[in-house]
Amino acid sequence: MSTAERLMSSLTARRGERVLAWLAVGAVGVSAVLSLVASPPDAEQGGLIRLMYVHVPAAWVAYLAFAVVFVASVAYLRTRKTRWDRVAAASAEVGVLFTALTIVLGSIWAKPVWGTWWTWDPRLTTTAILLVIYVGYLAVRRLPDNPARRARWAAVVGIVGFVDVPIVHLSVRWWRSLHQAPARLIGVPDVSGSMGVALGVGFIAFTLVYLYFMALRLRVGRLEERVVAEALSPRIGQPAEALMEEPARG
Amino acid sequence: MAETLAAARYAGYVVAGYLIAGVGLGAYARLLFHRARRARARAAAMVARRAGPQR
Amino acid sequence: MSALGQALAIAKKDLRIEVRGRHVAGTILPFAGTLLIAFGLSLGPGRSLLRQTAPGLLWLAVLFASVLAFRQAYQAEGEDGAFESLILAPIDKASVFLGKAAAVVVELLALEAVVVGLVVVLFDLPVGHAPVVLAGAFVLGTIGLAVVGSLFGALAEMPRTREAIFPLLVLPLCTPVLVAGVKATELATTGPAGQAGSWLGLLLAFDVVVTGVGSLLFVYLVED
Repeated sequence: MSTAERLMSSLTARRGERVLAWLAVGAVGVSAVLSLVASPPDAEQGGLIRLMYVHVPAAWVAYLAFAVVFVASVAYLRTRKTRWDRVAAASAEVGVLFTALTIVLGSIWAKPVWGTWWTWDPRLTTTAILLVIYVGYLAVRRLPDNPARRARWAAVVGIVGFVDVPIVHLSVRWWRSLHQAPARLIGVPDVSGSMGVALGVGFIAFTLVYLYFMALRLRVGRLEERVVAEALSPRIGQPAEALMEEPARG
Repeated sequence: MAETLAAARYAGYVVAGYLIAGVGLGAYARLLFHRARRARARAAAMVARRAGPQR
Repeated sequence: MSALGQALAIAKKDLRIEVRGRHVAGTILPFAGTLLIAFGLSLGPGRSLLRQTAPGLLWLAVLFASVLAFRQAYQAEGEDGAFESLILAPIDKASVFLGKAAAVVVELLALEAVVVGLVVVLFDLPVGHAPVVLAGAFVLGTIGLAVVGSLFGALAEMPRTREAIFPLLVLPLCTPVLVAGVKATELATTGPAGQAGSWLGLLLAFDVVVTGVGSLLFVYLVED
């Protein structure tokens, strides 16, 4: 790739990031209006239903992000392209953020509706374990080791963690079914009409936020790798980019 | 009256949820901008040091 | 030598180390016992509560013991660059993974036999109802713990690694083993043992999936 080409691609990357930023901000704005103002209160839960429009899309993004970690991890082990490792790192970080957000929002929703901050509901419990698994994944990523080895390690954790999730969910579901369900548990609300629109726009808005965060986080990842490469660059004047694709020596 | 009070109390949960979502996402974006700025500054500092007085 | 033979050779080697060094028997088993006594003290002397919680406490003790067993299994490899030689040996890497898992399965099963005896004495857990179901739960559960531990145990031997990272990874990944193991033990001791079948099936599924994925992926962990 020539210098000009590299410049071009980085420019479009920045422009793409900016476009995504505006799209995400716009969609979040529309989603907020739809879910806070334009949609009707629920027959059973009243205004509390409005928490659904942030909680459920956040959960969707969390699972999407971890699926991306899985795909990128497989792709990294197959191709050994640093790009895939960066994608996995970025997506895991964003995924942990959204998982934590999902749990907190779910708690805030559960308190007035179910009367408790937490129940050992299968979905809640699976999400909590998911959070811990990927916090562990990020901890592996922070190990001070040679980048290539760390990337391989992280990829293995990313794959095993994702494969484990369905089994965790199944085990927790069976485990839960042996206890009585709490009396105040209210079922899934009937979502239709303008509520369905609000929820759909919520999904779109959160997915755009995810894509924007990915673009931003990928750029941060490139910049931070550049710092490491500069620090390790053995000769004066050697471009740092030349060092970025191979494992650092140290 | 009691109903209005209850509705206001519940509205508190909704407001809190949206605030936490907004603050959480905003804080993460700010953190990323901060990390980008710091990384750029560090890289620039290293390049400048290397280009400066000859070793 | 076939891959299976290689795995067995590695398992035999690890068991010989244990027989000569007695790490599991001398350190980890007493630790598991201490843990059970601490559980008993923290939950008070009420007989029925202890009996009710006994299966869970039993599996927690096993879980912690398995974490320590793998620390030990890989720490032994860290000395004199033994692990490098093992990896450089012209054998299938998956057999290293399976062999180390098999050795720890044997060690843990021996440990569990003693720990179950302790729980019978300390917590008054009746184990006579369905010994086959109980044994099945422990064998299948231990295999699950061992394959997860064998996969990520190598992490503990990475240079400049952090101690807590291994349990941080292993404990959440082993949630199905903990849940299914506890439930199967509960059913085998105080409940209708006939209902334990689905839990044993879940343990088996976990074992098969993690063994398969681990055999495929272990090679990437030890590439250099």
